Amino acid sequence: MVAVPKDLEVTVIRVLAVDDHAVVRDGIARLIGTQSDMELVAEASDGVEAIEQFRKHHPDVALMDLQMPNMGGIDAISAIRDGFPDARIIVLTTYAGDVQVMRALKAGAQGYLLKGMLRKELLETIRAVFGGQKRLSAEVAAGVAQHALDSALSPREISVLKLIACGNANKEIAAQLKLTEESVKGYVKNILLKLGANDRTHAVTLGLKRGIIDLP
Amino acid sequence: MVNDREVQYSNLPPGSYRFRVMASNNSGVWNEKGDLLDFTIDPAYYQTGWFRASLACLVFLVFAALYQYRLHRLAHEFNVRLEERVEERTRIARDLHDTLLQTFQGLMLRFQVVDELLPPGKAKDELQSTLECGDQAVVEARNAVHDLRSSATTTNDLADALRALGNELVTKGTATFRLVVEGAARNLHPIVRDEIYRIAREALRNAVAHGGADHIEAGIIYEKHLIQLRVRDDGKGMPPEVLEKGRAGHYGLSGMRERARAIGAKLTISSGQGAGTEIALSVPGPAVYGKPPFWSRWLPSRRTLR
Repeated sequence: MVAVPKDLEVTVIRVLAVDDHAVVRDGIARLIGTQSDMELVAEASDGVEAIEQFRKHHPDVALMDLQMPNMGGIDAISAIRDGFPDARIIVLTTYAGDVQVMRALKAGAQGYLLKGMLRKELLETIRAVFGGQKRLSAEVAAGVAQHALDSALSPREISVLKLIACGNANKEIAAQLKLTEESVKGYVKNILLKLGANDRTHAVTLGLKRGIIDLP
Repeated sequence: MVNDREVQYSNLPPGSYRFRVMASNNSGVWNEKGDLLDFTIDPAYYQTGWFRASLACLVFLVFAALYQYRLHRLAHEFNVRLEERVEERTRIARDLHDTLLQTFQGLMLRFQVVDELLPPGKAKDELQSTLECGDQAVVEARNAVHDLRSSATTTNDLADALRALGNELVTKGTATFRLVVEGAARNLHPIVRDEIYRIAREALRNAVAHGGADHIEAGIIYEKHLIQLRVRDDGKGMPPEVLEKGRAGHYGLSGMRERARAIGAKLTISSGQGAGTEIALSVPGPAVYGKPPFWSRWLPSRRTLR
């Protein structure tokens, strides 16, 4: 906690918690409740509610889960940042995949925390992000750093990878994306090269691990 | 000798015959020379050797087909059970992720609240070290759930998976790792593959963590109706009581045995003090390869295994 002279008014950081699991929101609420320099002003259980609550309360910091019904976290972050370009948002999620992290950061998140680390990092991260800094959990940062110089998959390559993950052969992928089988082969070759994968299944594994694609 | 002018033979088997006849007139004078009639009885179709051979063939084929059908049914039932298990596992993973894991993550926050409220002292120290263990447990639970979730889509090539795993594990120690593959790699059923992978992972982890080995070698042997896995090291080996009961507080060995049993495989672990450790797993049965019987190629619309 920052030491503040007693006669000065303490700035209270107003927080919005967005998670579809009540038990996580409850934990966050109680932890924030122990701090005199922050308060939880609203909760939401999906992306749509998050946007509503943000409009209504203008919190200083929003804590955002990524996997939620109706509207996921990334879409909610983009929508909130469209309306409020200086919105400060911290992503809370269970897994660290570097591509998913980059997606969240590009959508406008300033922090990215693993839920397993919340008890140690949440309060500090809220203060840091409120103060204008960016913060990532160490495990998250390591994943991002490891792949920082890799060339990213193009949207087309990502859709090919998604179809591979669903068990489609090149011919079926070609039919679904209205491409020739030859060009699908080209995309697959590029995907393997960019991910450093040995084969198609390996590419799918890496894609899942790094958050490029989600499980169907 | 008969008085009739007729003669009848019933039941003549097929063959060539000569009919001889002598007769006398009313005065009893015999025609000594008699007369001859040669004739052949052709065998009926069911009396031919060809027919009998074909019949034997047919009976044999029917039995062979029945046998194949039975095998196919067994393999099919096994596969259906495995498919059910894949689905069930995905469902369990989803449930664990949505309930247990989130609950633990939420509870850890509430314990942190207690920690924030406690004044410095013995209770706070104790709580903090307990919370550290809790963090570790949550990470392990998260990784286990992730394993469950992703296994249905991980690489189908067991050798690739084991090579990556082995190389990753040995970077933490001083041992070298080598993987040997014999026979042509085949597609394995996802569950069988996962279980083999996890048994190998446990074996490799043990070799790295407790074995004190210089060399660790894993082998995958693809045979016609069998897949074998071997993991051996030249480390210090396990004393007999560990081999029998496992290390206190570790469930690795019994876990390996349970996994082997679940896929109908045979697991042998051999080790001696100073003699290294070798685990050998052999997984039999058509279900390993999820392969349809030969004649089903001529049947329409079977799902092909990719």
